Amino acid sequence: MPRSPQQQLVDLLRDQLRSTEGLDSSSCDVVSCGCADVDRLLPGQGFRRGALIEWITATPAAGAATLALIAAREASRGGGALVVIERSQQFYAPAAAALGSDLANTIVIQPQHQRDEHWAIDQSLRSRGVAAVWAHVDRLDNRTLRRWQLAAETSGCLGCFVRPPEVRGQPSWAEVQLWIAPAPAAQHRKIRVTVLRCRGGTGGASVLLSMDEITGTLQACETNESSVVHLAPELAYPTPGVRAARA
Amino acid sequence: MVLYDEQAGRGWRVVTCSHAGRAHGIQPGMPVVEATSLVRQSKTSPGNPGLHLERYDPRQDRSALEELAAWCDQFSPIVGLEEEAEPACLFMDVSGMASIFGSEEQLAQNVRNQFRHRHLLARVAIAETLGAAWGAARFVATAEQPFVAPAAANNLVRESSATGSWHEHLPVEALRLPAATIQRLHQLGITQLRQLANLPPRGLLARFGDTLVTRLRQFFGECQEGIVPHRPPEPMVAQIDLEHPTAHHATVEHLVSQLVADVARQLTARQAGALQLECQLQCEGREAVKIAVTLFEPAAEARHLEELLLMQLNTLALPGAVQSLAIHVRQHATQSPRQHVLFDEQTRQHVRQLATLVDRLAGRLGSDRVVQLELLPDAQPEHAVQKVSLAAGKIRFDHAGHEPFRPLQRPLRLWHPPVPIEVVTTPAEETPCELSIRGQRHPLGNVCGPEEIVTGWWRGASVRRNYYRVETTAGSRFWVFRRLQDNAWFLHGEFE
Repeated sequence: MPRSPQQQLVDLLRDQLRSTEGLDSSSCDVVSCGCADVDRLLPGQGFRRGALIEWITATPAAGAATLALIAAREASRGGGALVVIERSQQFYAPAAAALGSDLANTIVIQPQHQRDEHWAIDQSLRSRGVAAVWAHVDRLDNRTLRRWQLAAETSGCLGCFVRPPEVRGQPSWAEVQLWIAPAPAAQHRKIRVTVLRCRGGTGGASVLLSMDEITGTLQACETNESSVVHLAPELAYPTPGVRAARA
Repeated sequence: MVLYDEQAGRGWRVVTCSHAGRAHGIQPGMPVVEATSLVRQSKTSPGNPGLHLERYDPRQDRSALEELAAWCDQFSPIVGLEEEAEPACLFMDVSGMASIFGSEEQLAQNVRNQFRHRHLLARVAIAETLGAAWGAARFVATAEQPFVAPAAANNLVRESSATGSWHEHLPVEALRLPAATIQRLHQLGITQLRQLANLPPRGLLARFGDTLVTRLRQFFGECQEGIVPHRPPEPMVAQIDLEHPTAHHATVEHLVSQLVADVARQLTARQAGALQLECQLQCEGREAVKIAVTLFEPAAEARHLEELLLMQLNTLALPGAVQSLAIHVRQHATQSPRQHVLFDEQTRQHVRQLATLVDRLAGRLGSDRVVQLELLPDAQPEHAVQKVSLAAGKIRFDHAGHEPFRPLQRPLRLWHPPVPIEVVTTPAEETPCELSIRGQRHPLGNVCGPEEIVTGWWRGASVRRNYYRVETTAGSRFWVFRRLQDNAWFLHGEFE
């Protein structure tokens, strides 16, 4: 269907805005989230390296951590380590290996306290030797998240955080927030991924994914991009155009 | 006990094993899985500790041999390691030493006994040349009985004598030859040293190159071969004794920085990097406070070493005024030269930055909390993973972990120990249809299983479980099992 002149103008302005913010996919390094159907929902066709991504899980054991790990795996494929930070010591390596993570390139950090955990995430995000940091992050003040965001931008590390449902609607410095809700299914595992917010694009688009238990591939069952929900008010602080690369 | 390593294209292989392991039929070069199953098959008593697997570390191996070489100074003034990439033999020059120990036989026996006191089995041989001694130690001497070659003038000659020389029946393997050369010799039907000794050297040179001819000549003493003596390096240490003891933290930090700079200079002069540092703070009337730092990669940068030491020092409460400080380099390794290769520069930078990160994390959190995870061939889920410390450069970025499971066959979060839960089952098939976790009921929509796991009997009580992957009607996925001994149900994981 031909786009109206107003829509074309909006697209043009959006492209210019993204270019100004440094989000143009041609000018920055973009990494796939591990599923092309989810990539298509994002303005850059994937996650920008140096960004923080939040997978907010609607219910326990919904598959958010799995999706976050797949994205972290993709980010570490081109070089750089994958750092897993978990206080609970419940990260199960055979499952990660089965999902395609290279354990030889994975460093697991098991801090005892939340303070150490936040420090370890900060340090890992700052290191240029790290491609992605994967962690469960529960309570977090906005200042810490901002510090992490700057650290990730400096190094180009992708921060993949699994967050509880309570953080939905709270202000965040994450570039992309995804809402992960399970969809009961008879055979393959089905997960609905909704873009709550993404920098340089509009939120609300969602896709129902099916995960093949033999191959581990993620595919869309059906898309629902038309039902765009305006979530712009959740963006508490406007992000500056080009950030200073320092923390 | 089995030491294993990954061999290119062949997976995990046994490098060496203990006598008990050999008694089970384990051989070097065997796949680790086969070694594990051999031990399981031959085990009869449940109290048996089972197989202890440990990764082979050539650097530690060499370090231990160097330590032994230093200790062997008591037997000979010249002690050296064999000149191989991974040495496994010590050479000693015992010319003229027999009179001190009584005889060469007594000297050999003495060496063997002293090793035994250190709980080490050594095969000791004395011969006229290094090559002959090496071959005799491997193929004539035993751990019980050292070998001393007769000191006759014509002892080491190529021609066979009427009485038969001790070396005539040695295999060609006694010549310190590469495996490929040995294999070619075997293909030609040459298995013994005497066959080789009678062949014309010119033909051997043309067919096998100069290594074989050189080894033969070295064996028979036709060319000189010397021992490269091992000299233990001078310890690297920096120390300050204070005239007036101080408890002022900032002053102590400043002194530590000075000592680190001194240690870094010593390391740089030797083109080495520290792997282990120990800082000792002697406080008045108290035992010395020790701060140990283990590094991921050899490092000689003062700033980095200082940061790691101060990170720990800042968490300490000094028991009194410090009267002396010392920093010892407990372990070091040669630093690889920094070549400016454009193609690889970025990767090298990343590895260096990762090493800095690991050191920093291990310094604050403890080296046992910064690890890699390694999969083990164990059916019991909680024993299928082991932590490998990243300290002292033990990380391996080149091996690929095996993937025994399909995606989503195992949960990403494993509860250890498993959490007892209540389960309502179907009357007919006894499969779960409702879970109750911490008082909250979860009706189930999708159930996959059972996957029966019966294992672990050698660890004591046998593990017999039926595992189910279950999905609640809300879509949450859990991994639960029924203990077959008493039909109790447990939550073991979440497919989060």
